[in-house]
Amino acid sequence: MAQKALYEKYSPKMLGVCRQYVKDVQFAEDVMVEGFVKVFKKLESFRFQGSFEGWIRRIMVHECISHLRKKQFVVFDETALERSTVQTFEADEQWEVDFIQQHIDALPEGYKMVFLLHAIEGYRHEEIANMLKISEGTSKSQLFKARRQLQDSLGLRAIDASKRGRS
Amino acid sequence: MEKFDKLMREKLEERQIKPSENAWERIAEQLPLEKKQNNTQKYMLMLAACFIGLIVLTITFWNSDEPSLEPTQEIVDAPKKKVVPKSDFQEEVIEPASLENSEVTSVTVPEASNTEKSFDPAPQEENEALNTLAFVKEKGELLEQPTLDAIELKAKEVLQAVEKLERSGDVAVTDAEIDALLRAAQKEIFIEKNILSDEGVDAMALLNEVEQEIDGTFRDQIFDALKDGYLKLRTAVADRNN
Repeated sequence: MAQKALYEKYSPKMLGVCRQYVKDVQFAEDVMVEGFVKVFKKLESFRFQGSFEGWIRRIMVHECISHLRKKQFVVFDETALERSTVQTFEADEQWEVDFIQQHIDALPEGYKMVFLLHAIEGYRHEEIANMLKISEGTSKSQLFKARRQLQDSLGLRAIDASKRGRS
Repeated sequence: MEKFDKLMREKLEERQIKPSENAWERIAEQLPLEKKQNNTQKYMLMLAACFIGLIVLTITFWNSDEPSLEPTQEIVDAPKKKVVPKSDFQEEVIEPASLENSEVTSVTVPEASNTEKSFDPAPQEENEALNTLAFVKEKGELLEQPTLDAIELKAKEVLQAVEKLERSGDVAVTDAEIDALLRAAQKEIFIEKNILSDEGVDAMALLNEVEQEIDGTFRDQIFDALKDGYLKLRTAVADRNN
Protein backbone atom coordinates (compact mmCIF):
# COMPACT_ATOMS: atom_id res chain seq x y z
CA MET A 1 0.00 0.00 0.00
CA ALA A 2 1.56 3.29 -1.14
CA GLN A 3 0.11 5.28 1.74
CA LYS A 4 1.69 2.98 4.29
CA ALA A 5 5.01 3.23 2.49
CA LEU A 6 4.86 7.02 2.70
CA TYR A 7 3.94 6.79 6.35
CA GLU A 8 6.82 4.47 7.15
CA LYS A 9 9.27 6.73 5.36
CA TYR A 10 8.25 10.05 6.88
CA SER A 11 6.57 9.23 10.19
CA PRO A 12 9.74 9.13 12.39
CA LYS A 13 10.86 12.52 11.19
CA MET A 14 7.40 14.00 11.44
CA LEU A 15 6.94 12.70 14.95
CA GLY A 16 10.21 14.47 15.78
CA VAL A 17 8.76 17.70 14.39
CA CYS A 18 5.57 17.27 16.37
CA ARG A 19 7.54 16.51 19.52
CA GLN A 20 9.32 19.88 19.21
CA TYR A 21 5.99 21.65 19.69
CA VAL A 22 4.13 19.19 21.93
CA LYS A 23 5.75 18.22 25.21
CA ASP A 24 4.34 14.74 25.66
CA VAL A 25 5.34 12.23 23.02
CA GLN A 26 1.95 10.53 23.15
CA PHE A 27 0.18 13.79 22.42
CA ALA A 28 2.76 14.46 19.75
CA GLU A 29 1.90 11.12 18.15
CA ASP A 30 -1.80 12.00 18.24
CA VAL A 31 -1.00 15.20 16.40
CA MET A 32 1.14 13.29 13.90
CA VAL A 33 -1.70 10.81 13.22
CA GLU A 34 -4.12 13.67 12.52
CA GLY A 35 -1.47 15.29 10.37
CA PHE A 36 -0.99 12.17 8.24
CA VAL A 37 -4.75 11.79 7.77
CA LYS A 38 -4.78 15.32 6.39
CA VAL A 39 -1.75 14.57 4.23
CA PHE A 40 -3.50 11.60 2.61
CA LYS A 41 -6.72 13.56 2.21
CA LYS A 42 -4.93 16.41 0.49
CA LEU A 43 -2.52 14.21 -1.42
CA GLU A 44 -4.23 15.01 -4.74
CA SER A 45 -3.63 18.73 -4.16
CA PHE A 46 0.15 18.29 -4.02
CA ARG A 47 1.47 19.88 -7.25
CA PHE A 48 5.09 18.66 -6.95
CA GLN A 49 6.17 22.25 -6.34
CA GLY A 50 8.91 21.95 -3.73
CA SER A 51 9.86 18.85 -1.82
CA PHE A 52 7.23 16.38 -0.65
CA GLU A 53 8.88 16.24 2.77
CA GLY A 54 8.65 20.00 3.12
CA TRP A 55 4.95 19.83 2.17
CA ILE A 56 4.26 17.18 4.83
CA ARG A 57 6.32 19.11 7.36
CA ARG A 58 4.25 22.28 6.83
CA ILE A 59 1.06 20.32 7.38
CA MET A 60 2.48 18.85 10.58
CA VAL A 61 3.54 22.27 11.89
CA HIS A 62 0.08 23.72 11.22
CA GLU A 63 -1.47 20.73 12.93
CA CYS A 64 0.76 21.28 15.96
CA ILE A 65 -0.20 24.94 16.18
CA SER A 66 -3.85 24.01 15.88
CA HIS A 67 -3.46 21.39 18.61
CA LEU A 68 -1.77 23.81 20.98
CA ARG A 69 -4.46 26.39 20.35
CA LYS A 70 -7.17 23.85 21.12
CA LYS A 71 -5.63 22.22 24.15
CA GLN A 72 -3.99 25.20 25.75
CA PHE A 73 -4.54 28.86 26.08
CA VAL A 74 -1.43 30.23 24.45
CA VAL A 75 -0.55 33.65 25.84
CA PHE A 76 2.05 35.73 24.11
CA ASP A 77 2.91 37.60 27.29
CA GLU A 78 5.96 39.84 27.33
CA THR A 79 6.59 39.13 31.01
CA ALA A 80 6.15 35.37 30.77
CA LEU A 81 9.90 34.81 30.82
CA GLU A 82 10.38 36.49 34.17
CA ARG A 83 7.52 34.53 35.73
CA SER A 84 8.36 31.14 34.24
CA THR A 85 10.40 28.64 36.20
CA VAL A 86 13.67 28.20 34.42
CA GLN A 87 15.03 24.75 34.91
CA THR A 88 18.77 24.41 35.31
CA PHE A 89 20.80 21.67 33.75
CA GLU A 90 24.28 20.57 34.44
CA ALA A 91 26.81 22.50 32.41
CA ASP A 92 28.91 19.54 31.37
CA GLU A 93 26.01 17.72 29.79
CA GLN A 94 26.36 16.87 26.10
CA TRP A 95 24.61 18.85 23.47
CA GLU A 96 22.21 16.09 22.83
CA VAL A 97 18.93 16.58 21.14
CA ASP A 98 16.89 15.48 24.10
CA PHE A 99 18.76 17.95 26.27
CA ILE A 100 17.94 20.79 23.94
CA GLN A 101 14.37 19.61 23.70
CA GLN A 102 14.02 19.74 27.46
CA HIS A 103 15.08 23.39 27.45
CA ILE A 104 12.74 24.17 24.60
CA ASP A 105 9.90 22.47 26.47
CA ALA A 106 10.67 24.73 29.43
CA LEU A 107 9.93 27.81 27.35
CA PRO A 108 6.52 29.43 27.58
CA GLU A 109 4.30 28.19 24.71
CA GLY A 110 4.32 31.51 22.91
CA TYR A 111 8.10 31.81 23.02
CA LYS A 112 8.54 28.21 22.00
CA MET A 113 6.29 28.43 18.94
CA VAL A 114 7.88 31.62 17.66
CA PHE A 115 11.38 30.24 18.23
CA LEU A 116 10.66 26.91 16.51
CA LEU A 117 8.86 28.51 13.58
CA HIS A 118 11.61 31.03 12.96
CA ALA A 119 14.83 29.25 14.00
CA ILE A 120 13.99 25.68 12.99
CA GLU A 121 11.34 25.92 10.26
CA GLY A 122 12.65 29.14 8.74
CA TYR A 123 9.40 31.11 8.63
CA ARG A 124 9.65 34.91 8.42
CA HIS A 125 8.17 37.14 11.14
CA GLU A 126 5.41 38.22 8.78
CA GLU A 127 4.39 34.61 8.20
CA ILE A 128 4.62 33.79 11.90
CA ALA A 129 2.47 36.80 12.71
CA ASN A 130 -0.19 35.59 10.28
CA MET A 131 -0.07 32.01 11.50
CA LEU A 132 -0.26 32.87 15.21
CA LYS A 133 -2.42 35.96 14.67
CA ILE A 134 0.00 38.27 16.45
CA SER A 135 1.87 41.36 15.34
CA GLU A 136 5.31 41.17 13.78
CA GLY A 137 6.70 43.15 16.70
CA THR A 138 5.40 40.58 19.16
CA SER A 139 6.94 37.82 17.06
CA LYS A 140 10.34 39.51 17.06
CA SER A 141 10.16 40.25 20.79
CA GLN A 142 9.15 36.67 21.61
CA LEU A 143 11.98 35.31 19.47
CA PHE A 144 14.56 37.52 21.17
CA LYS A 145 13.45 36.50 24.65
CA ALA A 146 13.23 32.82 23.71
CA ARG A 147 16.78 32.88 22.42
CA ARG A 148 18.05 34.61 25.56
CA GLN A 149 16.37 32.10 27.85
CA LEU A 150 17.65 29.14 25.86
CA GLN A 151 21.18 30.48 25.82
CA ASP A 152 21.04 31.11 29.55
CA SER A 153 19.63 27.72 30.33
CA LEU A 154 22.04 25.93 28.05
CA GLY A 155 24.99 27.96 29.47
CA LEU A 156 25.96 29.18 26.03
CA ARG A 157 26.10 32.83 27.00
CA ALA A 158 28.45 32.12 29.92
CA ILE A 159 30.69 30.06 27.65
CA ASP A 160 30.67 32.78 25.01
CA ALA A 161 31.46 35.46 27.65
CA SER A 162 34.36 33.45 29.08
CA LYS A 163 35.69 32.91 25.56
CA ARG A 164 35.45 36.61 24.86
CA GLY A 165 37.17 37.39 28.23
CA ARG A 166 40.07 35.07 27.50
CA SER A 167 40.57 36.49 24.09
CA MET B 1 22.20 34.88 16.88
CA GLU B 2 22.11 33.22 13.51
CA LYS B 3 24.85 30.88 14.73
CA PHE B 4 22.70 29.82 17.67
CA ASP B 5 19.69 29.28 15.41
CA LYS B 6 21.79 27.23 13.02
CA LEU B 7 23.07 25.07 15.89
CA MET B 8 19.54 24.46 17.13
CA ARG B 9 18.35 23.66 13.59
CA GLU B 10 21.13 21.15 13.03
CA LYS B 11 20.33 19.37 16.25
CA LEU B 12 16.56 19.32 15.91
CA GLU B 13 15.91 19.15 12.18
CA GLU B 14 17.00 15.58 11.69
CA ARG B 15 15.55 14.34 14.91
CA GLN B 16 13.56 11.14 14.47
CA ILE B 17 11.22 9.37 16.88
CA LYS B 18 9.77 6.02 16.06
CA PRO B 19 5.98 6.04 16.35
CA SER B 20 4.11 3.38 18.29
CA GLU B 21 2.92 0.22 16.53
CA ASN B 22 -0.73 1.19 16.41
CA ALA B 23 -0.13 4.66 14.95
CA TRP B 24 -0.61 3.47 11.35
CA GLU B 25 -3.72 1.50 12.32
CA ARG B 26 -5.22 4.68 13.72
CA ILE B 27 -4.49 6.46 10.45
CA ALA B 28 -5.77 3.55 8.35
CA GLU B 29 -9.00 3.47 10.35
CA GLN B 30 -9.79 7.01 9.31
CA LEU B 31 -8.87 6.60 5.64
CA PRO B 32 -11.43 3.91 4.66
CA LEU B 33 -14.13 5.97 6.34
CA GLU B 34 -13.27 8.84 4.08
CA LYS B 35 -13.34 6.56 1.06
CA LYS B 36 -16.69 5.25 2.17
CA GLN B 37 -18.01 8.79 2.43
CA ASN B 38 -16.65 9.57 -1.02
CA ASN B 39 -18.33 6.48 -2.43
CA THR B 40 -21.61 7.48 -0.79
CA GLN B 41 -21.31 10.93 -2.36
CA LYS B 42 -20.62 9.35 -5.74
CA TYR B 43 -23.67 7.12 -5.43
CA MET B 44 -25.79 10.10 -4.47
CA LEU B 45 -24.50 12.06 -7.46
CA MET B 46 -25.14 9.14 -9.79
CA LEU B 47 -28.64 8.75 -8.40
CA ALA B 48 -29.31 12.46 -8.88
CA ALA B 49 -27.95 12.31 -12.44
CA CYS B 50 -30.18 9.33 -13.26
CA PHE B 51 -33.21 11.12 -11.82
CA ILE B 52 -32.50 14.24 -13.88
CA GLY B 53 -31.96 12.10 -16.96
CA LEU B 54 -35.28 10.35 -16.38
CA ILE B 55 -37.06 13.70 -16.12
CA VAL B 56 -35.42 14.92 -19.33
CA LEU B 57 -36.41 11.74 -21.15
CA THR B 58 -39.98 12.02 -19.90
CA ILE B 59 -40.24 15.63 -21.07
CA THR B 60 -38.73 14.70 -24.42
CA PHE B 61 -41.19 11.84 -24.81
CA TRP B 62 -44.15 14.10 -24.06
CA ASN B 63 -42.94 16.69 -26.50
CA SER B 64 -42.44 14.04 -29.16
CA ASP B 65 -46.19 13.28 -29.03
CA GLU B 66 -47.07 16.70 -30.43
CA PRO B 67 -45.24 16.32 -33.76
CA SER B 68 -47.25 13.14 -34.38
CA LEU B 69 -50.24 15.41 -35.07
CA GLU B 70 -48.38 17.14 -37.86
CA PRO B 71 -49.16 14.54 -40.52
CA THR B 72 -52.85 15.35 -39.97
CA GLN B 73 -52.00 18.96 -40.64
CA GLU B 74 -50.22 17.95 -43.78
CA ILE B 75 -53.38 16.28 -44.99
CA VAL B 76 -55.22 19.49 -44.26
CA ASP B 77 -52.69 21.63 -46.05
CA ALA B 78 -52.53 19.54 -49.20
CA PRO B 79 -55.90 20.53 -50.71
CA LYS B 80 -55.21 24.17 -49.94
CA LYS B 81 -52.57 24.25 -52.65
CA LYS B 82 -55.08 23.07 -55.22
CA VAL B 83 -57.55 25.87 -54.57
CA VAL B 84 -57.59 28.15 -57.56
CA PRO B 85 -57.92 31.88 -56.90
CA LYS B 86 -61.48 33.08 -57.15
CA SER B 87 -60.66 35.87 -59.57
CA ASP B 88 -59.78 33.37 -62.30
CA PHE B 89 -63.36 32.25 -62.55
CA GLN B 90 -65.35 35.34 -61.85
CA GLU B 91 -64.53 36.82 -65.20
CA GLU B 92 -65.59 33.80 -67.15
CA VAL B 93 -68.98 35.00 -68.21
CA ILE B 94 -70.14 33.78 -71.57
CA GLU B 95 -73.04 35.42 -73.27
CA PRO B 96 -74.07 33.89 -76.55
CA ALA B 97 -74.34 36.72 -79.04
CA SER B 98 -77.32 35.64 -81.02
CA LEU B 99 -78.98 32.41 -80.35
CA GLU B 100 -82.53 32.35 -81.52
CA ASN B 101 -85.05 29.97 -79.97
CA SER B 102 -82.48 28.94 -77.57
CA GLU B 103 -83.29 27.75 -74.13
CA VAL B 104 -80.07 29.17 -72.89
CA THR B 105 -79.74 32.88 -73.44
CA SER B 106 -76.76 33.48 -71.28
CA VAL B 107 -74.64 31.15 -69.39
CA THR B 108 -72.60 32.18 -66.47
CA VAL B 109 -70.21 30.07 -64.67
CA PRO B 110 -72.16 28.03 -62.20
CA GLU B 111 -71.88 29.20 -58.70
CA ALA B 112 -71.11 25.74 -57.61
CA SER B 113 -68.13 25.69 -59.85
CA ASN B 114 -67.01 29.00 -58.53
CA THR B 115 -67.58 27.88 -55.05
CA GLU B 116 -65.78 24.69 -55.74
CA LYS B 117 -62.68 26.17 -57.22
CA SER B 118 -62.45 29.51 -55.53
CA PHE B 119 -63.89 28.54 -52.23
CA ASP B 120 -61.88 30.62 -49.88
CA PRO B 121 -63.55 30.73 -46.51
CA ALA B 122 -61.84 31.70 -43.33
CA PRO B 123 -59.02 29.32 -42.48
CA GLN B 124 -60.88 28.04 -39.49
CA GLU B 125 -63.91 27.11 -41.56
CA GLU B 126 -61.69 25.48 -44.12
CA ASN B 127 -59.98 23.45 -41.47
CA GLU B 128 -63.31 22.38 -40.07
CA ALA B 129 -64.50 21.29 -43.48
CA LEU B 130 -61.32 19.39 -44.16
CA ASN B 131 -61.40 17.82 -40.77
CA THR B 132 -64.88 16.66 -41.56
CA LEU B 133 -63.54 15.24 -44.78
CA ALA B 134 -60.89 13.39 -42.85
CA PHE B 135 -63.57 12.11 -40.54
CA VAL B 136 -65.60 10.87 -43.47
CA LYS B 137 -62.49 9.17 -44.80
CA GLU B 138 -61.91 7.45 -41.54
CA LYS B 139 -65.43 6.16 -41.31
CA GLY B 140 -65.34 4.91 -44.87
CA GLU B 141 -68.48 6.81 -45.63
CA LEU B 142 -67.46 8.12 -48.96
CA LEU B 143 -70.15 9.94 -50.77
CA GLU B 144 -71.52 8.51 -53.95
CA GLN B 145 -69.86 9.80 -57.06
CA PRO B 146 -71.56 10.11 -60.43
CA THR B 147 -70.64 7.30 -62.72
CA LEU B 148 -69.02 7.69 -66.07
CA ASP B 149 -72.22 6.51 -67.74
CA ALA B 150 -74.14 9.43 -66.35
CA ILE B 151 -71.58 11.83 -67.75
CA GLU B 152 -71.65 10.20 -71.13
CA LEU B 153 -75.42 10.36 -71.04
CA LYS B 154 -75.23 14.05 -70.31
CA ALA B 155 -72.77 14.56 -73.12
CA LYS B 156 -75.20 12.85 -75.46
CA GLU B 157 -77.94 15.15 -74.25
CA VAL B 158 -75.77 18.13 -75.05
CA LEU B 159 -75.06 16.68 -78.45
CA GLN B 160 -78.74 16.20 -79.08
CA ALA B 161 -79.47 19.74 -77.96
CA VAL B 162 -76.92 21.12 -80.37
CA GLU B 163 -78.29 19.02 -83.19
CA LYS B 164 -81.74 20.24 -82.30
CA LEU B 165 -80.50 23.79 -82.47
CA GLU B 166 -78.95 23.12 -85.82
CA ARG B 167 -82.10 21.53 -87.10
CA SER B 168 -84.39 24.23 -85.80
CA GLY B 169 -82.61 27.01 -87.68
CA ASP B 170 -79.89 27.67 -90.10
CA VAL B 171 -77.92 29.56 -87.62
CA ALA B 172 -74.40 28.32 -87.25
CA VAL B 173 -73.43 27.19 -83.85
CA THR B 174 -70.46 29.05 -82.53
CA ASP B 175 -67.79 27.66 -80.23
CA ALA B 176 -68.99 29.99 -77.49
CA GLU B 177 -72.46 28.55 -77.72
CA ILE B 178 -71.10 25.05 -77.52
CA ASP B 179 -69.08 26.02 -74.47
CA ALA B 180 -72.19 27.51 -72.93
CA LEU B 181 -74.06 24.29 -73.48
CA LEU B 182 -71.25 22.29 -72.00
CA ARG B 183 -71.17 24.49 -68.92
CA ALA B 184 -74.90 24.19 -68.56
CA ALA B 185 -74.49 20.44 -68.68
CA GLN B 186 -71.75 20.68 -66.13
CA LYS B 187 -74.08 22.64 -63.91
CA GLU B 188 -76.70 19.96 -64.18
CA ILE B 189 -74.13 17.39 -63.26
CA PHE B 190 -73.28 19.37 -60.19
CA ILE B 191 -76.94 19.60 -59.32
CA GLU B 192 -77.22 15.89 -59.70
CA LYS B 193 -74.27 15.58 -57.41
CA ASN B 194 -76.24 17.68 -54.91
CA ILE B 195 -73.52 20.31 -54.73
CA LEU B 196 -75.96 23.01 -55.74
CA SER B 197 -79.42 23.20 -54.29
CA ASP B 198 -82.08 25.80 -53.72
CA GLU B 199 -80.88 26.37 -50.21
CA GLY B 200 -77.31 26.99 -51.25
CA VAL B 201 -74.14 24.98 -51.22
CA ASP B 202 -74.23 21.52 -49.74
CA ALA B 203 -71.20 21.24 -47.52
CA MET B 204 -70.97 17.48 -47.73
CA ALA B 205 -71.32 17.53 -51.49
CA LEU B 206 -68.64 20.16 -51.61
CA LEU B 207 -66.40 17.99 -49.52
CA ASN B 208 -67.12 15.20 -51.91
CA GLU B 209 -65.99 17.47 -54.70
CA VAL B 210 -62.82 18.23 -52.86
CA GLU B 211 -62.34 14.52 -52.61
CA GLN B 212 -62.68 14.37 -56.34
CA GLU B 213 -59.98 16.94 -56.72
CA ILE B 214 -57.71 14.80 -54.69
CA ASP B 215 -58.60 11.94 -56.95
CA GLY B 216 -57.61 13.77 -60.10
CA THR B 217 -58.12 10.84 -62.45
CA PHE B 218 -61.87 10.93 -62.02
CA ARG B 219 -61.98 14.61 -62.86
CA ASP B 220 -59.87 13.98 -65.91
CA GLN B 221 -62.35 11.32 -66.96
CA ILE B 222 -65.21 13.81 -66.72
CA PHE B 223 -63.56 16.36 -68.92
CA ASP B 224 -62.32 13.71 -71.32
CA ALA B 225 -65.89 12.57 -71.75
CA LEU B 226 -67.08 16.13 -72.27
CA LYS B 227 -64.25 16.70 -74.69
CA ASP B 228 -65.18 13.59 -76.69
CA GLY B 229 -68.78 14.76 -76.88
CA TYR B 230 -67.66 18.19 -77.96
CA LEU B 231 -65.45 16.78 -80.71
CA LYS B 232 -68.24 14.52 -81.93
CA LEU B 233 -70.56 17.51 -82.01
CA ARG B 234 -68.14 19.60 -84.00
CA THR B 235 -67.55 16.78 -86.41
CA ALA B 236 -71.30 16.32 -86.86
CA VAL B 237 -71.83 20.03 -87.48
CA ALA B 238 -68.96 20.14 -89.92
CA ASP B 239 -70.28 17.10 -91.81
CA ARG B 240 -73.74 18.59 -92.03
CA ASN B 241 -72.39 21.88 -93.34
CA ASN B 242 -70.43 20.06 -95.98
